[in-house]
Amino acid sequence: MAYSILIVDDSEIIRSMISRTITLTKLPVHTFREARNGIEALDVLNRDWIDIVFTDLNMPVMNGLDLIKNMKKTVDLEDVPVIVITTEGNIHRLDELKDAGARDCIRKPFTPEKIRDVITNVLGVWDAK
Amino acid sequence: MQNKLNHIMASVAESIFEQVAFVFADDIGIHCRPQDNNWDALGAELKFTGTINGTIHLWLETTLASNIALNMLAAEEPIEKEKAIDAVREMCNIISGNFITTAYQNADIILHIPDLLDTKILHEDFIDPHGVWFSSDDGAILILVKET
Repeated sequence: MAYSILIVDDSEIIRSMISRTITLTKLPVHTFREARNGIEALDVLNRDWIDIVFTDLNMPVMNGLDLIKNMKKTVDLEDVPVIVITTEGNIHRLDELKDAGARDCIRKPFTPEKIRDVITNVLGVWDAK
Repeated sequence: MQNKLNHIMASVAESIFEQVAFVFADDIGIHCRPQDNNWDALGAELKFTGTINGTIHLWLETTLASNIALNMLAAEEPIEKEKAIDAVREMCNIISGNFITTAYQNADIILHIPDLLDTKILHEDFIDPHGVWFSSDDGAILILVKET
Protein backbone atom coordinates (compact mmCIF):
# COMPACT_ATOMS: atom_id res chain seq x y z
CA MET A 1 0.00 0.00 0.00
CA ALA A 2 1.24 3.50 -0.84
CA TYR A 3 0.07 6.45 1.23
CA SER A 4 -1.29 9.86 0.33
CA ILE A 5 0.22 12.48 2.61
CA LEU A 6 -0.87 16.06 3.23
CA ILE A 7 1.76 18.51 4.50
CA VAL A 8 0.43 21.77 5.97
CA ASP A 9 2.85 24.62 6.67
CA ASP A 10 3.02 28.26 5.64
CA SER A 11 6.71 27.82 4.80
CA GLU A 12 7.44 26.31 1.39
CA ILE A 13 10.91 25.39 2.63
CA ILE A 14 9.55 23.42 5.58
CA ARG A 15 6.98 21.63 3.39
CA SER A 16 9.85 20.61 1.13
CA MET A 17 12.00 19.47 4.07
CA ILE A 18 9.17 17.37 5.50
CA SER A 19 8.43 15.63 2.19
CA ARG A 20 12.14 14.91 1.62
CA THR A 21 12.47 13.58 5.17
CA ILE A 22 9.45 11.31 4.73
CA THR A 23 10.97 10.05 1.47
CA LEU A 24 14.14 9.16 3.41
CA THR A 25 12.09 6.93 5.72
CA LYS A 26 11.27 4.74 2.65
CA LEU A 27 7.57 4.95 3.45
CA PRO A 28 5.73 4.01 0.24
CA VAL A 29 4.18 7.30 -0.84
CA HIS A 30 1.51 7.58 -3.52
CA THR A 31 1.15 11.38 -3.39
CA PHE A 32 2.38 14.35 -1.44
CA ARG A 33 -0.22 17.11 -1.23
CA GLU A 34 0.56 20.53 0.25
CA ALA A 35 -1.38 23.34 1.91
CA ARG A 36 -0.29 26.67 3.38
CA ASN A 37 -2.82 26.81 6.23
CA GLY A 38 -5.75 25.00 7.82
CA ILE A 39 -8.35 26.32 5.38
CA GLU A 40 -6.37 25.13 2.35
CA ALA A 41 -5.82 21.80 4.13
CA LEU A 42 -9.56 21.30 4.70
CA ASP A 43 -10.13 22.03 1.03
CA VAL A 44 -7.68 19.28 0.04
CA LEU A 45 -9.10 16.87 2.63
CA ASN A 46 -12.65 17.41 1.39
CA ARG A 47 -11.64 16.70 -2.21
CA ASP A 48 -8.98 13.99 -2.01
CA TRP A 49 -8.25 10.83 -0.07
CA ILE A 50 -5.52 11.51 2.50
CA ASP A 51 -4.02 8.83 4.76
CA ILE A 52 -2.06 11.06 7.13
CA VAL A 53 -1.65 14.79 7.77
CA PHE A 54 1.51 16.54 8.96
CA THR A 55 0.73 20.07 10.09
CA ASP A 56 2.46 23.06 11.59
CA LEU A 57 0.81 24.71 14.59
CA ASN A 58 1.31 28.46 14.10
CA MET A 59 0.03 29.45 10.68
CA PRO A 60 -1.91 32.42 9.31
CA VAL A 61 -5.61 32.13 8.31
CA MET A 62 -6.20 28.88 10.26
CA ASN A 63 -3.73 27.31 12.67
CA GLY A 64 -3.03 23.62 13.24
CA LEU A 65 -5.16 23.36 16.37
CA ASP A 66 -8.25 24.72 14.59
CA LEU A 67 -7.55 22.43 11.64
CA ILE A 68 -7.66 19.40 13.97
CA LYS A 69 -10.83 20.65 15.69
CA ASN A 70 -12.52 21.12 12.30
CA MET A 71 -11.48 17.66 11.16
CA LYS A 72 -12.86 16.10 14.34
CA LYS A 73 -16.23 17.74 13.63
CA THR A 74 -16.38 16.17 10.15
CA VAL A 75 -17.42 12.52 9.93
CA ASP A 76 -15.29 11.74 6.87
CA LEU A 77 -12.18 13.36 8.36
CA GLU A 78 -12.35 12.56 12.06
CA ASP A 79 -10.27 9.37 11.76
CA VAL A 80 -7.52 10.78 9.53
CA PRO A 81 -4.40 10.81 11.74
CA VAL A 82 -2.81 14.22 12.29
CA ILE A 83 0.81 14.70 13.33
CA VAL A 84 1.79 18.19 14.48
CA ILE A 85 5.30 19.39 13.60
CA THR A 86 6.09 22.49 15.62
CA THR A 87 8.72 24.51 17.44
CA GLU A 88 6.28 24.66 20.34
CA GLY A 89 7.64 23.31 23.61
CA ASN A 90 4.86 24.66 25.83
CA ILE A 91 3.48 21.63 27.69
CA HIS A 92 0.03 23.21 28.04
CA ARG A 93 -0.23 23.78 24.29
CA LEU A 94 1.06 20.30 23.48
CA ASP A 95 -1.54 18.82 25.85
CA GLU A 96 -4.20 20.96 24.16
CA LEU A 97 -3.18 19.51 20.78
CA LYS A 98 -3.35 15.93 22.08
CA ASP A 99 -6.72 16.62 23.72
CA ALA A 100 -8.03 18.00 20.41
CA GLY A 101 -7.04 14.76 18.69
CA ALA A 102 -3.46 15.13 17.40
CA ARG A 103 -1.94 11.66 17.24
CA ASP A 104 1.56 12.88 18.00
CA CYS A 105 3.75 15.99 18.08
CA ILE A 106 7.23 16.34 16.61
CA ARG A 107 9.52 19.19 17.62
CA LYS A 108 11.46 21.17 15.03
CA PRO A 109 14.22 20.51 14.17
CA PHE A 110 13.13 16.97 13.30
CA THR A 111 15.15 13.95 12.19
CA PRO A 112 14.23 11.20 9.71
CA GLU A 113 14.40 8.75 12.63
CA LYS A 114 11.81 10.68 14.63
CA ILE A 115 9.49 11.00 11.62
CA ARG A 116 9.89 7.28 10.88
CA ASP A 117 9.11 6.32 14.51
CA VAL A 118 5.97 8.45 14.56
CA ILE A 119 4.74 7.13 11.19
CA THR A 120 5.43 3.57 12.33
CA ASN A 121 3.41 4.21 15.45
CA VAL A 122 0.50 5.70 13.52
CA LEU A 123 0.38 3.65 10.30
CA GLY A 124 2.13 0.47 11.36
CA VAL A 125 5.35 -1.11 10.12
CA TRP A 126 6.29 -1.14 6.43
CA ASP A 127 9.01 -2.86 4.46
CA ALA A 128 11.68 -0.12 4.41
CA LYS A 129 14.02 -1.67 1.84
CA MET B 1 19.95 38.27 33.17
CA GLN B 2 20.63 39.47 29.61
CA ASN B 3 24.02 37.76 29.69
CA LYS B 4 22.40 34.49 30.75
CA LEU B 5 19.78 34.75 28.00
CA ASN B 6 22.46 35.55 25.43
CA HIS B 7 24.54 32.59 26.56
CA ILE B 8 21.55 30.25 26.15
CA MET B 9 20.70 31.82 22.79
CA ALA B 10 24.27 31.38 21.51
CA SER B 11 24.22 27.71 22.40
CA VAL B 12 20.72 27.02 21.00
CA ALA B 13 21.26 28.98 17.78
CA GLU B 14 24.64 27.40 17.05
CA SER B 15 23.08 23.95 17.35
CA ILE B 16 20.02 24.81 15.22
CA PHE B 17 22.12 26.35 12.45
CA GLU B 18 24.16 23.16 12.28
CA GLN B 19 21.19 20.78 12.38
CA VAL B 20 18.79 22.61 10.09
CA ALA B 21 20.93 24.66 7.72
CA PHE B 22 24.33 22.94 7.83
CA VAL B 23 25.87 26.28 8.76
CA PHE B 24 28.75 26.17 11.21
CA ALA B 25 29.66 29.21 13.27
CA ASP B 26 33.36 30.07 13.03
CA ASP B 27 33.19 32.35 16.01
CA ILE B 28 30.75 33.96 18.45
CA GLY B 29 30.96 37.42 19.99
CA ILE B 30 30.72 41.14 19.35
CA HIS B 31 33.99 41.01 17.37
CA CYS B 32 32.05 39.06 14.68
CA ARG B 33 30.07 42.22 13.89
CA PRO B 34 30.87 43.36 10.32
CA GLN B 35 32.94 46.54 9.97
CA ASP B 36 30.60 47.84 7.27
CA ASN B 37 27.78 49.90 8.79
CA ASN B 38 25.72 49.25 5.65
CA TRP B 39 25.56 45.54 6.40
CA ASP B 40 23.26 43.81 3.88
CA ALA B 41 20.98 41.49 5.85
CA LEU B 42 17.48 40.01 5.94
CA GLY B 43 15.68 39.92 9.27
CA ALA B 44 12.71 38.28 10.98
CA GLU B 45 11.03 38.89 14.31
CA LEU B 46 9.13 36.51 16.55
CA LYS B 47 7.02 37.87 19.42
CA PHE B 48 6.21 35.78 22.45
CA THR B 49 3.57 36.47 25.07
CA GLY B 50 2.42 34.87 28.32
CA THR B 51 4.06 34.74 31.72
CA ILE B 52 7.06 36.35 30.02
CA ASN B 53 6.78 38.69 27.02
CA GLY B 54 9.37 39.66 24.49
CA THR B 55 10.73 39.57 20.97
CA ILE B 56 13.52 37.78 19.19
CA HIS B 57 15.16 39.32 16.13
CA LEU B 58 17.24 37.27 13.72
CA TRP B 59 19.34 38.93 10.99
CA LEU B 60 21.21 36.90 8.40
CA GLU B 61 23.65 38.37 5.89
CA THR B 62 21.76 38.20 2.59
CA THR B 63 24.28 35.85 0.95
CA LEU B 64 24.09 33.55 3.95
CA ALA B 65 20.26 33.61 3.91
CA SER B 66 20.29 32.51 0.26
CA ASN B 67 22.74 29.72 0.99
CA ILE B 68 20.68 28.55 3.96
CA ALA B 69 17.59 28.43 1.73
CA LEU B 70 19.57 26.35 -0.80
CA ASN B 71 20.69 23.97 1.96
CA MET B 72 17.21 23.64 3.41
CA LEU B 73 15.72 22.96 -0.03
CA ALA B 74 18.61 20.68 -1.02
CA ALA B 75 18.74 22.79 -4.18
CA GLU B 76 21.73 23.62 -6.35
CA GLU B 77 20.46 26.40 -8.56
CA PRO B 78 20.15 30.04 -7.50
CA ILE B 79 16.90 30.75 -5.68
CA GLU B 80 14.53 33.71 -5.59
CA LYS B 81 14.70 36.25 -2.76
CA GLU B 82 11.31 35.03 -1.46
CA LYS B 83 12.86 31.69 -0.55
CA ALA B 84 15.73 33.40 1.29
CA ILE B 85 13.11 35.38 3.22
CA ASP B 86 11.21 32.16 3.95
CA ALA B 87 14.46 30.65 5.28
CA VAL B 88 15.08 33.61 7.60
CA ARG B 89 11.52 33.47 8.97
CA GLU B 90 11.68 29.72 9.54
CA MET B 91 15.14 29.84 11.14
CA CYS B 92 13.81 32.58 13.45
CA ASN B 93 10.83 30.39 14.27
CA ILE B 94 12.86 27.27 15.07
CA ILE B 95 15.59 29.08 17.01
CA SER B 96 13.02 31.06 19.01
CA GLY B 97 10.92 28.03 19.90
CA ASN B 98 13.90 26.06 21.11
CA PHE B 99 15.39 29.06 22.92
CA ILE B 100 12.16 29.75 24.80
CA THR B 101 11.80 26.12 25.88
CA THR B 102 15.40 26.09 27.14
CA ALA B 103 15.47 29.55 28.73
CA TYR B 104 12.02 29.63 30.31
CA GLN B 105 11.44 25.91 30.91
CA ASN B 106 7.74 25.27 31.54
CA ALA B 107 6.56 28.90 31.55
CA ASP B 108 3.22 29.33 29.77
CA ILE B 109 4.35 31.24 26.68
CA ILE B 110 2.63 31.55 23.32
CA LEU B 111 4.78 31.92 20.20
CA HIS B 112 3.48 34.17 17.47
CA ILE B 113 3.98 33.81 13.72
CA PRO B 114 7.35 35.29 12.68
CA ASP B 115 7.25 38.52 10.68
CA LEU B 116 9.77 39.95 8.27
CA LEU B 117 11.72 42.87 9.75
CA ASP B 118 11.98 46.18 7.95
CA THR B 119 15.56 47.07 7.11
CA LYS B 120 14.96 50.41 8.88
CA ILE B 121 15.29 48.43 12.14
CA LEU B 122 18.59 46.91 11.04
CA HIS B 123 20.73 49.91 11.99
CA GLU B 124 19.18 50.05 15.48
CA ASP B 125 19.80 46.33 16.00
CA PHE B 126 23.28 46.52 14.46
CA ILE B 127 24.52 48.89 17.16
CA ASP B 128 22.62 47.26 20.03
CA PRO B 129 25.25 46.20 22.60
CA HIS B 130 23.18 43.14 23.63
CA GLY B 131 23.26 41.45 20.22
CA VAL B 132 24.57 37.90 19.87
CA TRP B 133 26.88 37.84 16.84
CA PHE B 134 28.12 34.82 14.93
CA SER B 135 30.44 34.62 11.96
CA SER B 136 30.31 31.87 9.35
CA ASP B 137 31.91 31.20 5.98
CA ASP B 138 29.01 32.83 4.15
CA GLY B 139 28.43 35.83 6.37
CA ALA B 140 27.45 37.17 9.75
CA ILE B 141 24.42 36.40 11.94
CA LEU B 142 22.87 38.67 14.55
CA ILE B 143 20.28 37.61 17.14
CA LEU B 144 18.65 39.86 19.72
CA VAL B 145 16.55 38.70 22.64
CA LYS B 146 14.45 41.40 24.27
CA GLU B 147 12.11 40.86 27.19
CA THR B 148 9.44 43.57 27.37
